[in-house]
Amino acid sequence: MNSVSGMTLKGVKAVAVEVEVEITGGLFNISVVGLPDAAVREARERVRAALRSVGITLRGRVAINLAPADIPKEGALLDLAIAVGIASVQGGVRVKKPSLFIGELALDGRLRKVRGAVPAAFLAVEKGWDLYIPEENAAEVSLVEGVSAWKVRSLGELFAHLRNEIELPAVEHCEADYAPPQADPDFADIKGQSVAKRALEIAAAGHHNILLVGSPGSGKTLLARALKGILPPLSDKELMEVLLLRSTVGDSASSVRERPFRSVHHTASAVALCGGGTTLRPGEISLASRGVLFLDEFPEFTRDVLEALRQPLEDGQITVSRASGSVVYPAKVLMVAACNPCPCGYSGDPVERCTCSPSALERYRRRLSGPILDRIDLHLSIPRLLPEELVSLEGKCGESSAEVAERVRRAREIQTKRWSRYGIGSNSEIPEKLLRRNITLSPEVKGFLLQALNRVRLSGRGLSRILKVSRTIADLDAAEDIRLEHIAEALSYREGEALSWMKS
Amino acid sequence: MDEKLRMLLLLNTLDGQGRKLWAALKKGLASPDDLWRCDPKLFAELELTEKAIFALRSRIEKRWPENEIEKCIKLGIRTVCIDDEDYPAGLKDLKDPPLALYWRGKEKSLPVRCAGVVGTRNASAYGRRIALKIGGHCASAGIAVISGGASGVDGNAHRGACISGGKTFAVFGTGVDVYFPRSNETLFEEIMDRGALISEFPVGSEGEQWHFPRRNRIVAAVSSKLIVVEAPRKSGAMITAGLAAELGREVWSVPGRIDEENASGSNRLIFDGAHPLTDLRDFFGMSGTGTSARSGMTERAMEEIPLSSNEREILKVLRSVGGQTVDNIALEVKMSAADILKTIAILSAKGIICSSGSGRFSVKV
Repeated sequence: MNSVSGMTLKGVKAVAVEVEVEITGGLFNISVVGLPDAAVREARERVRAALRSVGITLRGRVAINLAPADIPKEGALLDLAIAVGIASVQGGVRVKKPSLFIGELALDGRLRKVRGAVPAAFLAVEKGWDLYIPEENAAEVSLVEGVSAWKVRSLGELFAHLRNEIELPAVEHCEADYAPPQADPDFADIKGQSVAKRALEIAAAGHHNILLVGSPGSGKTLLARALKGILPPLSDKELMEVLLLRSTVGDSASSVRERPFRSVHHTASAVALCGGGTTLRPGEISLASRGVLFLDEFPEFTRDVLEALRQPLEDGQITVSRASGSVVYPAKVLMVAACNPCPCGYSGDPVERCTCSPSALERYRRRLSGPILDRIDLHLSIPRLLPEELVSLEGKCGESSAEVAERVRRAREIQTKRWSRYGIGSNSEIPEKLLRRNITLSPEVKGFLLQALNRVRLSGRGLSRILKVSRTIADLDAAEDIRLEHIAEALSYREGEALSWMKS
Repeated sequence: MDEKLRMLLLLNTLDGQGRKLWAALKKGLASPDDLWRCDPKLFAELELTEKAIFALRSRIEKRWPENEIEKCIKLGIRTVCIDDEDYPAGLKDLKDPPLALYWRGKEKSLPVRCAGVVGTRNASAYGRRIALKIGGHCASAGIAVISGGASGVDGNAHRGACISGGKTFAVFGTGVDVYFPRSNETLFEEIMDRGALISEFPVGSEGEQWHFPRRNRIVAAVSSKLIVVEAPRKSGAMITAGLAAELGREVWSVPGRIDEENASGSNRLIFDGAHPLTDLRDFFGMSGTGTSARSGMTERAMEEIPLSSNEREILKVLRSVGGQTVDNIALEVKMSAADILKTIAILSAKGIICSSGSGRFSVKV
C-alpha cells in the first residue's frame, strides 16, 4: 500500500485520499485524475515549481491518481501530498509510516495555511497515521488529543525530515484554557434595560431563542452583542465540534473557548445561511452552532430564508443535500432576532410619532408572525429611553456580565445534571413527553396557570414553551420546583403578552 | 320580482338624483313604467343631470337591478328599503337617507339603543384599549355598538362588544361582501354572528375614497350616542362627530394628552361642548341603563384583591404616572430590578397592569 495520503473535506469530515504517482518516459506532462476541482488541477504548477526549489526537476509523463476516484476532491490542501507522492517516486524521499500530508505549496516551497486541519487531525487519530501540517495550522491541531503531528515550514524541511536528516518540531497537545469570556459590551455598560438583561440571562441559561422588538436606537444590537459575554465557555465536547466547523472554513477564533457569534445581514441567501454551494460549505447557522446567531431586521429577511431556518432550529442540525452528496452539519444555535415594531420604527414610542399607514403596518406585522416565531421562546419589547430617563439613570449601572455569567453557569450545571441521562443539554430542548413527566406543579401554581391560560387562550405549543421557560427561570433561582413567580415571569415573555401593545 | 325593490336598488345608486325620482314616484307624479322606459319628459321635468340619466339608462339596459337582487340572494344578503319596518329609524333624520341598505348578518334590525364608537385607524395602544373597554361595557349594558369596521379604534370597539357577547354592527364603505381591511376578516365574521354588516353600496363595491364620509353619516345617524375615542383634527371620526351633533345626537369624547396629534380632534370636541368621557360610569349612568358599569379596576376594587407589599408599591408608582419602564420604576421604589420584574409579571398575569407601549407598563383602566 502506498503510504502517502492527502485528504479532502466532505462536510465537516475528512476523507482520506491516496496519492498514487507514476512517471514514465515521454514528453513532459503532468496529469491529475480522480475528480479534481480547479484548485487541485492547478496544483500541478505549484507542485512543479515547489519541487524545483528543492532540487527535484520533473521529467517525462507524470500521472497522478487521487483515489478513491469517485469522490470529488477540492481545495489546495492536496498540494503537499502530491509533492511528497512525486518525490517518493523520483526524489529519493521515503515515507516509511503511513502519513497524512496537508498543505498548500508556495512556488518557492513554503507551506501555506489550509482549511480543514482539524478534520484531518481527527482522521489521523482515527487511522493511527502521522500528520504533517503547515506551521500556521499548528495552534488548532494542538487542541486535538492524541494526534502525532509535525509542523512543516517548507517542502525542503519536510524532505530532510523524511530522509532522517533533521527532526521537525512536533505539535504538542495543549488544553484550551478556561479564560473567562471577554464581555464586550459589558452588561454594566448598558444603561437601564433591566428587562432585556434579565431576558437575555434566561435565554443564555436555557438556550432559548429570543426576539427583541424595539425602536431604532433602543439598543437591540448592543444587547444582542452583550449576550456573548454571559454565555458559559465551551465545554470540551462542544469545543471540538466548534473547532471542526471553524477549521473547515479556515476560520480561527482569537479565544478558543469563546462561543461563536454570527451576525447575519438580511440580504443573506438561504444557502449562505443554511450551507450548501457546489463544494458544500457550512452555512452561518452551522458556524454559529453552540453560540449565537443574530438576525437583525428580522422581517426584512426573505420568506424562503426564514422558512429554511425552521427545520434546523427544531432539530439542532441541518442536512444539506446536493448533487455532489449530502452532509449533516450541526446547527444548535441560540437565535437572537431583532426588529423594529413597525416600518418607521416608532410605533409605541412615547415621543416620536409613528408615520406608518395602517396598511403598511398590517403588512409588516403579518411578516412578523408565522411559524418561525413559534420557535422563539422569549418575546421582548425594548423601550427607547428618553433623554431625561437616560440622565436619571446616570451613574446607576447594574450587574456586570461576569456576575450574570456565573448565575448562568450554575443554571446550566443544574440542567446538565438533570437532563444528561436523556441526552439533552438545556431546557429548551426538552421533548414534550419528558416535559409533562418531569415538571410537577403545585395545585396553587396549576390554578394560576389555568387562569392565565383561559385569559390569553394559549395553544398546546405555547403552554410547553411557558413551562420550559419557567423551568429555566426556576433553575436560575436554584429552585427545585417551579413556583408561581416563575410562571408569571415566563408568561410575561410570551408573544401575546410582551407585544400586546402592538396588536391592532 | 318585486318592482319596488328593483326601483329602490337602482335609484339608491344615484344618490340625490335617485331620491328626487323616488319622491316623484311616491307622489304619483310618475309611474314606474315611465322610469323603466326612461321617459325623457319625466327626466326633464325633474331636471336630472346628464350623468344620472346616462347611468340610469345603461343600468336598465343591462338589467342591473335584477342581477343585483340575484347576487344578494346567492350571497345571503338582505336588502332593507326605506319604507321597510326594519329600516333604522335614525336614518330618517338625515336629509339624504339611503334608499336601500344591504344587510348581512343574524340580526334583522337595529336595537333601540345604539352607541357609535369612532376614532382613528392609527390608534395608540391606549386608544385601542379604551375602545375595547367601551365596546365591552356597552355590550354588557345592552347597548349595541356601531362602528365602521376599520382597524384601530373601530375594530377594537367591535371586538370588545363581541368578547362581552353583545350586539354590534359594522357600517361599511364598501359592499357588504368586500372585507376591508382584510386583516379584520375573522372579526367581520364574528360581527355577522352577533349583529350585521351594513352598507348602502351595491354588492362588490370597492372602497372609493368618497364612500367613507357617506358611510360616516350612517354611523352618526343610527347611533343615539356617539363616542369619539382618539381622533386627529382632520379625520373621518371628526366628520362623524360633527354630523352626529347636527342630528342632535349626544356626543362624547375621550380626553387625551394635549400634545398628541391623535387626541387633537377628540380634545377639540370637548372644548366645543362634547361630554368628556372621564369615567365610564358617567356614560352609562347618563344612559339611564340602571346597571352600574364596572369601570375596570377602580381603586376600591383593586383594594379587594390581596396584594403583597411589593405589588402595592409598584401599583402606587404606576397609578401616579403610567407608561413607565422597569428602569424608571426602579428609581422610585426600593427594590432590585429583578424583583420589580417578577412583581410586574405577577401583576400583569393577574390582569391589573398591562404593557402600554414598547417595554412600558401602565395600570389597566
